[in-house]
Amino acid sequence: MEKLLKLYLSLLCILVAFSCKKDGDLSASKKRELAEKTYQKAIQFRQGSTPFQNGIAEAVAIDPTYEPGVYELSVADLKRGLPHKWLPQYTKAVVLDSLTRIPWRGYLYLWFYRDYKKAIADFNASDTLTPNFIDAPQGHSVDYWRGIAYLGLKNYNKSNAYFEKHITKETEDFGEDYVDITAFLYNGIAYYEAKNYEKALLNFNKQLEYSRNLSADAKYYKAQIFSIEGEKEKALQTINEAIIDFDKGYNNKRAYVETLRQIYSQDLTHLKTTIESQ
Amino acid sequence: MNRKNLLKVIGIIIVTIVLFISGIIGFGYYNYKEAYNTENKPYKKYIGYIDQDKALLNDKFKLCDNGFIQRTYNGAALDAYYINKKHFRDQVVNEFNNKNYSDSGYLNFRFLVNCEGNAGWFEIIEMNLDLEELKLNSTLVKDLFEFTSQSKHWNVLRYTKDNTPYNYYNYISYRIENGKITEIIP
Repeated sequence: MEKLLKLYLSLLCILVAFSCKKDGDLSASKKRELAEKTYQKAIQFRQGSTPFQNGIAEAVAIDPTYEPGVYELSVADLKRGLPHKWLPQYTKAVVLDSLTRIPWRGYLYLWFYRDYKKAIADFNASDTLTPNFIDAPQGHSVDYWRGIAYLGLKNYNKSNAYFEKHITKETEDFGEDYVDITAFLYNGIAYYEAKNYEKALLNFNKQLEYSRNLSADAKYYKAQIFSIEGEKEKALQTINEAIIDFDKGYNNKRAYVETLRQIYSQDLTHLKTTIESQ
Repeated sequence: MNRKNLLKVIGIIIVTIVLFISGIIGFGYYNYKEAYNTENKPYKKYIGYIDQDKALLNDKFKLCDNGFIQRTYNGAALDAYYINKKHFRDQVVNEFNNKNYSDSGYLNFRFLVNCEGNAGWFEIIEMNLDLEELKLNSTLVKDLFEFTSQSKHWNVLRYTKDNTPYNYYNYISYRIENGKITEIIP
């Protein structure tokens, strides 16, 4: 028994002594495995912190083709306002996985740089890269994102065309209640700007139908339509409801950056004053 | 096995377990410390770090709370604008867009706001519309720097738990096309 224990302790020492192996000797699959392990360890730390960045840099040094690491090195620069550092690093990820990273870059150009044309170019490129598949960076189809980008460009016809395509496809595949309510909102805004008030109202009502009748944005635009159509009482009632919804926090917004066509309290009070003075 | 040998075996087992646990804790601690060691590593500071010795307007105000900076993850964004972003945008567009500039590009300011709402420690990044570093018209940059660095535009931000104010990091990016501000981010 004693001998066995001594043998066990000796074996432990030998195992510890020979547990290290040089990274350079590893095969490609082992390198990938080690890079992934190093990456997983690094991402336990706060994004953009030194252990996070250095740990991922170590993973990428082990396997320079490890795309999640190459991409992740760019993210903190994006979020913290350093575009000149973000882009060169992100471009390295595009080289490694263009199918994912080109439509994804479109999403980033759209929201973090408000470069609608570059965003559309990337979403269009995804049509060519994956002709039989509609990409959905960050959970929405490229058609939805193009609808937003064209709204940013004030090209309302194209914006509506992409939103209609997106809504039709989502409705056919999963049902109308599955469509993100902001698709109805933005589709409505584009129709409103194109002065197609009938279709605008239809979309704002859809949004309200699927959001328990709570949306300062939909009501803000509806009030404008009622006002244009000379229905003062209805407009006043709707803008008052919009103000209540806004005060409760039911308005369109997004994380990190302002959303497109985000409304503020001044927009609502200004519209109310305008309606009252009609 | 007699009593003496039994105690010996139990002793060895206990020592092994203690060594094993100490080893795991020690290894974990070493890894944690080592992860923060930046010697011979490419990233010396966290992303977005502002070097307060080199930053512009670094001697007007003082940071509170031993200089600890909040909101470094992505800046204070919409929380930072005094009143709200529309209030800020209306003023800057009104003041800037009637000037006769013709440049296009992005102009970014990264800065700190102390617990009293005073803005300082500015870093400026000038870029073209392809996000490549490129100098913009120096008067244009000076104009927007003077506007952006006015403390009146920035909120005092506070911890929700006890309402005490804190220092925070923020950035603002102006997209300028043909001399006019077309977008403000975040």
